[in-house]
Amino acid sequence: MTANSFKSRPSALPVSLLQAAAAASAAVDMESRFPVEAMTEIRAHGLLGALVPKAFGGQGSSVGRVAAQCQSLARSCSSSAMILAMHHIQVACIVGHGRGSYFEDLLRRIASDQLLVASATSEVGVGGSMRTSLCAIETDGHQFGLTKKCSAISFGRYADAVLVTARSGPLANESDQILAAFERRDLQMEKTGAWDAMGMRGTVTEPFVLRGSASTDHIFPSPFGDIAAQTMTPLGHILWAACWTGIAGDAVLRARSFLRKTHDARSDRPTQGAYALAEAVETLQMAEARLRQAMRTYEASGGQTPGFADTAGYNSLKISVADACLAVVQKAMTACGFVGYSRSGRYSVERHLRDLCSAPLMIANSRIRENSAWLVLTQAPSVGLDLGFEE
Amino acid sequence: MEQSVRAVLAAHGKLTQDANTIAVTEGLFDIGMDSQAVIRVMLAIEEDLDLSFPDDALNRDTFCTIDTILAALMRATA
Repeated sequence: MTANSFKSRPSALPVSLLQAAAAASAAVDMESRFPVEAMTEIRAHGLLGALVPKAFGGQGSSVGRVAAQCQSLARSCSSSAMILAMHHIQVACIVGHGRGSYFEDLLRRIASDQLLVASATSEVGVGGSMRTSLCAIETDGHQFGLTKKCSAISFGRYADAVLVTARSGPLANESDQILAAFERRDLQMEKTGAWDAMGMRGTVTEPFVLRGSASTDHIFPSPFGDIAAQTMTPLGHILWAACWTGIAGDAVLRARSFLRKTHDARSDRPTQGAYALAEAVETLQMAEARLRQAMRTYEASGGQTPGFADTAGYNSLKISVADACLAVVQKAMTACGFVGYSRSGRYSVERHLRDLCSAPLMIANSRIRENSAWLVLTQAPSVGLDLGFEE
Repeated sequence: MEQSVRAVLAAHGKLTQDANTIAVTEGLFDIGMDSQAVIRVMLAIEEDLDLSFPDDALNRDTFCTIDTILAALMRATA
C-alpha cells in the first residue's frame, strides 16, 4: 500500500486501479503470481488499448501519458506496472510497424477485447542478444511455422498474443530477423521451467518452448532490426525507466513519511535519516529529468530511425536510471533504518529494493555500455542546453 | 569509392558473404552486419576515404546497403 501520495500531481490512473494493485501487491509478491486484481481493473478502464489509435477504438494516448501511468502504477505494484509497460511496448510495435488488414484487426481487438500482448525475443543459446535468432520460420508462402526455445517470456501464460522474433528462413543469417504475431489459437506453449526470482515476482517470467503456425500476414513487413531500433528499444527503455522511477518514488515517499512521523520539532539539526532522504530525492529528480529528456527525443523522432547519438542516449537512459533508482531505494532504506528493512509495515522498502535489483539486469547494463562505447565514437553526444530555455 | 567501401565491409562488416561480389542493394544487416560492426565500418570508411559522413546520415539506415552508404558519401563530398 502506498504510504503517501504525490499531492502536487494529479494521478494518471483511476484510484480504483491503484487501490486494487496496492492491496494485492504483497500477495502477488509472496506467491509470485500474476496480478489478476490489477489486470482486471486495467482492462475495466480500457488501458490495454491506451496506445491503440482512436481510429481503431483505442485511447490514442501519448507516450508521455502512458509513461506517467506506468510510473503511477509502479508506486502501487511494481510487477503490474512492468507488465503494463511491456504490453505497451508490443502494442507500439504493432501501431508503428504492423501493416495490412490482419494487424489493423489485431489493434481493434486489443482495444475492444483488451488483449494482453507479451514479447518472445529471448532465446536459449544466443547469450541474451535480442538481435540474434537461432530459430527460423518455415513457410509455403501462405502459412508459416516456428518452433522457438524461449529463455524467458514475461506473463507468457497470461498473454492473449505474443510477438516473436526468428530468422527469416532456414538459410537466413542469425541477424536477419523477422517479428511475427501469434495469438493463443496459433500457439502451443510448453512451460519448461519456473519463475522464483528475488523481485518482480508478479511478472511470472517463465521459459517456454513455443510452437506456432499462422498465416504469413502475421509477419511484420519491416525487418525486426528496424522495429527494434525505431520503437522497441527506445520505448522499452523509456517505459522501464518510468516503472523504476515510480518504484523509487514510492520508497522516497515512505521514507519521508517515516521521518515526518519521527521528527523532533525541538531539534535544531536534521537527522542523518533526513540527509539520506535529501540525497535520495536529488538522485530521483536527476533520473526523472533524464527520463523526460528521452521522452522528448522519442516524441520528436516521429518514428524515424534514431541517429547513433540518440541510440547512445537511450542506452544511457536505461543504464543511468536503473542504477539511480536502485541507489534511491538504498538511500530510502538508510533513511528508514530497520523499519525500512522490515518485510512488512507502512515504511518497508525491502520489496522496492528487491524489485529494483532487476533493473540493471534487464538487458545487462554492461552489455548496453559496450554498445555505447562504440556509439560514442561515431557522433557527437547530445549535450548542451537548448536555446529554447532562453525565452 | 565503391571498391573502398567493399574493402572496408570485407574487413569489418562481419558479413557471411563476399563483400566484393554482393549486389549494391543487398541488405547488409541481413547478411551478418551487427550494431557493432556497422560502427567499425563507419569509422573505417571515414579514415580510409578521409571524409566525414553528414551528421544526419549517422544512423542505421545509412548502412543498410552499399548503395545507401555510397549515397551518403556522395552527399559528404558534394
